[in-house]
Amino acid sequence: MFLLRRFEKCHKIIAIFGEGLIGSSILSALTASAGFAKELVGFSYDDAAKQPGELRHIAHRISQVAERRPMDLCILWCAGTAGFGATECDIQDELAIFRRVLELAQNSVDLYPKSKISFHLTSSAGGLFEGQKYVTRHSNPAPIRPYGHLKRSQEELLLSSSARLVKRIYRLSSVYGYIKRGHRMGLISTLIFNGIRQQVSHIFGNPSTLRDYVWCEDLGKYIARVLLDHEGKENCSIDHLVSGKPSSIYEIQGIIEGLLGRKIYLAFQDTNTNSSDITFSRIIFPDNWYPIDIETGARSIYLKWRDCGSIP
Amino acid sequence: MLQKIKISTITPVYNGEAYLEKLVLELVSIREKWSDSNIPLELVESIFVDDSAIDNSYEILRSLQKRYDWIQVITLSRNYGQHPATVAGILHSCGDWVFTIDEDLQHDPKYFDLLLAHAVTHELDVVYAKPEGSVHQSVLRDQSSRLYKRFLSKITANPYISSFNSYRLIRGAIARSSASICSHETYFDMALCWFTDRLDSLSIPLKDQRFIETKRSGYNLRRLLSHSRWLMISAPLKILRTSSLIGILALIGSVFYGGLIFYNKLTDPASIPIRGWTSTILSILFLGGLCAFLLGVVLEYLTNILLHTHGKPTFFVVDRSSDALIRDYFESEKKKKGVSLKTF
Repeated sequence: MFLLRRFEKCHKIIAIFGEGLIGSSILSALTASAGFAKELVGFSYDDAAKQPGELRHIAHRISQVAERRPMDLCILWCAGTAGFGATECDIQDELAIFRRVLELAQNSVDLYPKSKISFHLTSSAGGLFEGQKYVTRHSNPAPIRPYGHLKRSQEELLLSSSARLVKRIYRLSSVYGYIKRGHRMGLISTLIFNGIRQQVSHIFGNPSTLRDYVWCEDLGKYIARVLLDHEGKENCSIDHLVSGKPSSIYEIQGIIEGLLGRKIYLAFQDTNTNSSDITFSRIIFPDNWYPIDIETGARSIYLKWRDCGSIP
Repeated sequence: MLQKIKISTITPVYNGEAYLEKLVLELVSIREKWSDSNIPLELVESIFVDDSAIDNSYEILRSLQKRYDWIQVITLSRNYGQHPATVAGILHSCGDWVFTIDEDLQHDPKYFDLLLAHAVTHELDVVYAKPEGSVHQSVLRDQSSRLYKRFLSKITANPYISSFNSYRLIRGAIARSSASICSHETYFDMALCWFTDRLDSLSIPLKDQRFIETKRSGYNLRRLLSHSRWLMISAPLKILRTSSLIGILALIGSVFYGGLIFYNKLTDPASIPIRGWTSTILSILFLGGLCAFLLGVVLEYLTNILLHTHGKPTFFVVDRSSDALIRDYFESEKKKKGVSLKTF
């Protein structure tokens, strides 16, 4: 995990759990603008035995700052390896880690009453509203698979935590961006990646399956802006960070073929569970949220990978 | 809970301030009617595409959007025209079926049920509204439009052109796929024909109230001509294939006739009174035929490249299984009322 510190009248500390696509984008957006000192602190996501000790160490690092003057501590949870295909067992492990990190935030609230402590959770709009079309403010989360239940449990745990803890939940649709080796690839990155290598992409769905895609840098900038906002008035907020434009796999295929200048090879595995549509209304956009279109995002990925001369 | 088929409507907006409120009220009444009955349909969204409207339409749409959360407004960066605006709207839609309607109440939403019933009863993917009687109440305007469509239908390989109308019902998956391949020179309805041949039209009363009252239309002559040119460019012309055929017939004819003349020259030279004339004509026929044939081949290649560039698919998979839900409903209503589907 990363610990970012900036010393000013009120010390700002941001603890970022998760260095995947979303975590990296937020980290980039924060370090690009705000002059933070960045520290990499070890945290074993896959070793439950080590986690209590590591969390004590993180708490100690925070206390070194907090004992001197009030602070603005933001704990951001964007970790987790569970995806749409996660099993019940996977989600229990992940929920246990989340509980421990949330405890760190609750303990900080009790220990530092003069400080502002906030917990930021990146949730999954797709997992919560799977199979629902045109999701609006009035739509109710109705998860279908374990992954969706995990996200709902995380949200419920956070919302039921100490009243003094500021709670920010970001419900994200399918995120795409520059993927690093070893990380889970989304549909768009996979199609570009396999398209460049002229390999077949296996799609779980059918060409008409509708999904909503958001560009990782848009998320990074938005969440960084919220993290840096000292004046946030609401104690609890849920932001739906979605594009509001449903895209079919067929449409994305056309965009990527246009980018690459040749056909891409697709094999569809259409199962009922994976081909359900998930779309959102633009009405649920939070203020200052301006998502870019897929064509621009996909072009950025392609140009970056092409210019690098290698693919992650 | 009753499973509902999701319906989207798309309306390009350019000059519709006088009609938008009324149109939305019509949509509200349809939405409420569906919601209050056990019909398995839900008007999930109405998308209005602001194509750089020249009047107060945008402000009206924004206020309507505040009132109804199922109304979406998309603003285009400049005036692109009705087809690109429709395409943009379709690409933002999520309905299982998509209606495209004009801004000026020419296309009454009360016929939605009728068009849907026709689509599911006949297992169609696209249903166009066919005007009953005169749309513009101007013989010149109506007849010229009808004749031009018929002419294009004849010279292209597409029998559906005469049905094309901006009041359409399209299966959602086909609408979005067709819209996604549309470039600036692709005629949307032609693209639809590349994805399905289950197209039909249904006669319903349509009146262009704006044209009748003000003699002004959203289309001026320049726009209509540009529209026609566009349609012609998107459609592969049957005439190209015909010219190749004429070319190859001329070529074969010249060879055959040349052989006959040569035989006559050998067996009965006296039968040729004027020397040189026949061979000149034969040469022209041969070379002209060869040129026409080769030109036809080149144009066929060009047409293929053009269609490839336009994104004509090799195949497309579609799922029509959910039609049964609507069909069953309409059939049960038909039995209950003892009336034909047309009366819905």
